[in-house]
Amino acid sequence: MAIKKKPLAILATGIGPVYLDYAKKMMASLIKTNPDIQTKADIVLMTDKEFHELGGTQDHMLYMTPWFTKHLLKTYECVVRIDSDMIIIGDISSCWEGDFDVAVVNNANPRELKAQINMMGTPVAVWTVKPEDYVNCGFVVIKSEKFVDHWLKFCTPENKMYRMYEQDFLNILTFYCDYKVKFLDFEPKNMGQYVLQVVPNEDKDKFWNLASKGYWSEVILKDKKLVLPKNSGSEIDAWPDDDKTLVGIHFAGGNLVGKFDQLDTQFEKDVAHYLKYLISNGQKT
Amino acid sequence: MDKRRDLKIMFLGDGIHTQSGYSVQMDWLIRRFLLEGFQVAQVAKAGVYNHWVNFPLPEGNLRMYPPINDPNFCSDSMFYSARHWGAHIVIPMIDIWGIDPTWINNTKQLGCKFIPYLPIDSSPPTPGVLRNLQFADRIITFSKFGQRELKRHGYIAEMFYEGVDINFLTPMDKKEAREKAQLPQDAFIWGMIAANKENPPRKAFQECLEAFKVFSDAHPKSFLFIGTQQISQGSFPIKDYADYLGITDKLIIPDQIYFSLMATREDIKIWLNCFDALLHPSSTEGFGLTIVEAQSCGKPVLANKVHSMQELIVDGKTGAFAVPNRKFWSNANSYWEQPDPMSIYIAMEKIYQMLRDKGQQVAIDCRKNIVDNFNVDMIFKEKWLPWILNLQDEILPKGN
Repeated sequence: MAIKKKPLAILATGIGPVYLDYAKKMMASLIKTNPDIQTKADIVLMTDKEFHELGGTQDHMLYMTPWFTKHLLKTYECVVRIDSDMIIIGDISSCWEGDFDVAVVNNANPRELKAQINMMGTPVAVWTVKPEDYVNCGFVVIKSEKFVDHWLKFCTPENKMYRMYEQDFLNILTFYCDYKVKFLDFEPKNMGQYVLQVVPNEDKDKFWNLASKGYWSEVILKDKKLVLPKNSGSEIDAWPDDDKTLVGIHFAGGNLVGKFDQLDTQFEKDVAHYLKYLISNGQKT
Repeated sequence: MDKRRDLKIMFLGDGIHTQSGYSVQMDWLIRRFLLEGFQVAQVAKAGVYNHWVNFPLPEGNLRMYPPINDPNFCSDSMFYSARHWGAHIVIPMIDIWGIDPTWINNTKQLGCKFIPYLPIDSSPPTPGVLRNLQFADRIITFSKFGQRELKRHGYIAEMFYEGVDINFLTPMDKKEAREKAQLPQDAFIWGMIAANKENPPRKAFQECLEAFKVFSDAHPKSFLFIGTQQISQGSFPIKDYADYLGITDKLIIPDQIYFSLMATREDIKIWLNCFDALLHPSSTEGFGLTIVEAQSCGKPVLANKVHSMQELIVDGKTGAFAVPNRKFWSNANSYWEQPDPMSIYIAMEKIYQMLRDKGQQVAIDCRKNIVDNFNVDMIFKEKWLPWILNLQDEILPKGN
């Protein structure tokens, strides 16, 4: 007899002391901004202990998202993977709504693309996925076991030449393998040679992940919501076209310590103060 | 006011005795922090060699460290000095694009906060500056212009103006000042005190000479004083161009050796008091210290209507603006905005008229602008001290 699955898991990972600290901060912000989340979902924190109990090796570190998700999909209908180095700022409940295999977030904006070029010489992309369409692995919603199995098939030692590894494979699956995909931030402007089924997103005025990065200094705090006003930035990289409410921000940028330490230079005082409250253990601001 | 003084503050910049614009700001800031009872050190980009020294000042002892392998930006010395002295924060007051990020991160790993106090002197800001700001724990900039530009490019900064010691830079009797400086009494003297480090020159020497030629044709009893401390190979050939324009006899250039090696703040005060007005239409400025120094002595200023300079004078009351006629993309990867020579001339005439019609009132307005807005004691008391005490509470909480 088939076991009835639970509806929803939020997957957080805290491997190593630095990322465990990040994960705790991210979860504190998630719970503060989604006070009823624990009635809807189980928050599953995978630490060194769980990693080793599941037989994790050095190689598994490179593709933790599909590897942990595969494990969780045995018990849950849907897994929301949230990177530890994120702060959740808004209601995330719309992210799992709809009939899709995977819901994804974007990896860049005009300023981030420039930053990627400065850091790596080229923007992050794979195959013929345009850098502005490329999706980020930091916030992924997965409902399809088939999708995860497919993802894991890419994660082989032979494929280690892919610069972003699991994230590159997420993009290959998203754009070329005819899955039902929901874009949480924004859809590609030109579908060109992509092969996918776009699932409409009714909740389009939000940025979930990296789409706001680089413009954070212009974010405003309004009624406990963070809003990136339209046409922030300078004349050469004005962004976005409409006001966007931020659901999450993602520091990303590789394995660095102190990712949460620069809030004072990245955000206006009131916003930084609010974010510090969200990631703290305390309940009052 | 909280009298806890646990925070160890290290500045990085021109040695306080080296007479550059930055050194003057370092000097007044450091002395006031010492007077408040803080422990202060300086990594001296210029002025100290080979070994650290405890430099005795009336306000207290200043620990000074020399450069090591990076004489221009002291990246390595910042780290080793912070480690040796046990700094809690380091405040570089330089163009930070040259600091090696590896050393910034090494310094931060000591637990020492990296807090640049920096000029933003172009739009867009120099990419190297923006690159290094990502490592900053706090940012302080010199002008509202800089604060706006940083915000447009992803960074939030405090804004603390540079300032002047209004008790030192005071108006003097012009006749007496000119006697001391041996300058002509019955002439209209435009003054420039500016570095000459590149060509095209940031301080717009070419445009100023061209404008002054037109002015001196209209006002034969006029002179242009140009004092330059910093001169580099590839700088603008001021004398040669004045020769070419036929105005060499209208130029007053102090002895270079004296100006570079021996000139003191007292000399600067006397020269500023000799001038009828200051000519300072730079194509780029992060602040423009001489602009406020001249006004402190009651002298109006002609500036370029770009960058921080727009905040430093009151148009029509304490000076006038030239306007740029073109932008060029500098090797710092940002625009410099060259002042139009004819607009400089028009502004020169405007200031000339202001002084002729209401000279005493202009002097009063200039002085008032500085006393009200750029007084170092006021800036220190209202901006720096509360800010540093808050920072102390955050970094070194009471009771720990």
